[in-house]
Amino acid sequence: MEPRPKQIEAAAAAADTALHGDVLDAIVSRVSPLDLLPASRVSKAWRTAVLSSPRRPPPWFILHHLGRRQVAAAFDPLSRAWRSLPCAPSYPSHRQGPQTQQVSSYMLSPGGGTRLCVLSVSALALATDPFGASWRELKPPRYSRTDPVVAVVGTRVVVAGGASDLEDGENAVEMFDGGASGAWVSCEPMPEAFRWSESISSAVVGRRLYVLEKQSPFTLSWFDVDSRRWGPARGVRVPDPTVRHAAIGFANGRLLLGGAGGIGTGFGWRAESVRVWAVDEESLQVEEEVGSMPRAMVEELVGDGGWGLSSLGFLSEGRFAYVYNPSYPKDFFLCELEEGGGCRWESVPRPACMEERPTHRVVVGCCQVGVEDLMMGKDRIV
Amino acid sequence: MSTESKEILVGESSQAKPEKKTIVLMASDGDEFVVDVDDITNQSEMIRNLISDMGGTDGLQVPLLNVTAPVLAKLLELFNVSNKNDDDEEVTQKVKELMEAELNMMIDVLGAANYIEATSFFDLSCKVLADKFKGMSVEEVREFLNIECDFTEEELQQIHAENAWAFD
Repeated sequence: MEPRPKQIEAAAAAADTALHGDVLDAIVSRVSPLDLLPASRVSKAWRTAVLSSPRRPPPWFILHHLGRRQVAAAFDPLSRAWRSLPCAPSYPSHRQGPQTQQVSSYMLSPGGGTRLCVLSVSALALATDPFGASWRELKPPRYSRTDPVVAVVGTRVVVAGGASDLEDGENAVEMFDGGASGAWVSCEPMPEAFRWSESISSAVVGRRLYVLEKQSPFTLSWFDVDSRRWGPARGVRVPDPTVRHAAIGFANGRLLLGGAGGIGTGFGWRAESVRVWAVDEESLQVEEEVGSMPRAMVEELVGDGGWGLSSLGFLSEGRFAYVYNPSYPKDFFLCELEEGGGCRWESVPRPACMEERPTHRVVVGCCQVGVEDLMMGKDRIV
Repeated sequence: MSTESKEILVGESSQAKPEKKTIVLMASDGDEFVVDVDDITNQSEMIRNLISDMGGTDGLQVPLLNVTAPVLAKLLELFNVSNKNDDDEEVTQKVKELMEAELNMMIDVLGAANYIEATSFFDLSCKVLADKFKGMSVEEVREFLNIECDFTEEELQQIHAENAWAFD
């Protein structure tokens, strides 16, 4: 630390009387992107700070209703509020019509989070922003599929499982290389253990797509997008033997497994706990418990309407994970994974739209939202 | 420029145990502040690293070229509050009071906290300021922080066109 000439000190002191640089960036990073919209109009320096902020805010939780009039609601954890999105996601319009469309979500890496995707016999359309305002359309994969796993890893699009029209095609995996060939190529099929899986949870870690069978024996495996091959498939030995439903995610730099345990058998089964474990990416086995949901929240999750818990909703991004009940999507819980280990849980307030339209099918999403995602001029929509 | 040494023992009274180690912080105008080593390293990562690089605290003087004496005094006063309380409530309240009474001083204190890498205090203070301007309109933010709008009329129109397209 060398002494500086007086005049430089004076200049530095003068500049320090205004809010700028690191301090302005730090303040901007603590505010919800929605609250930053006015800030972006304060001055040029503020606009630069707002648009260039390198922050990792907690991800939003987005509910896309699939009704005649499509609407969405988004929960912003920084302002702890649900916002309704009155303009519907603009699905590629010329594709709308009599043909069947499957609307689901796909995982995005790097960048993380999920986006909407629409699969029909004529196209696979991938939303390029969190709210489905702009889309990219690809030729459809060769096999027609029901509820496949869809993930974007770098420039590659992977579609796995769910194929139905060929006897041996159920586990077929296809990959679209947006950077090179511009065509779908067949890859090694999913391991045999996934053939009769009813539902699959997936997570992207680096160059690998991990898939988990959500019910016992909790088979876990991974697909490498570079070699186009699968790693070993193993049943995860979950430390809590009462766990009936599980799901995976990637957060805080670790592969995570959420599991719901409970008592009773058959239809009498009732969830009593939700725990989160870190899973080793190579051995595919649980390393340690990361957190456990407070009992009162588990009660809320199970629901008072007698819905029970027939699978576990678990979406993660950054240092956060959302836990919810897919058959009763009213109560949501946000879990913050702390740096030194452990979790902090909080209940998300109920979204009004789910009270109004409780029976509509929804697709859920979880992703970070930046100011640029909220400033969608017409030129951004492709 | 004053050369007298000010005794400010952060976190403890000046009747501290004799073996308490201290170092000297020098403000940009040369004023010296004697601070307790444990209390300052508890807050400042920069000083913690400096002490570890120097291999000890003997006769250590740390010149803080960006920080004036009044700002440093205020920062140490707030560290004192922070060190005395286990939770952040009290210090958050003090930072709020400072923001309402002397906004420029508060911003300077923020800059100083950032400079000496007092991370948790800096985070807490930024949050206070962020919460303050969260509900404000553009004009209110400008007025509150005395910022001049430097956009041209054309630029403003363009920005308005990027409306928050979807949210109520």
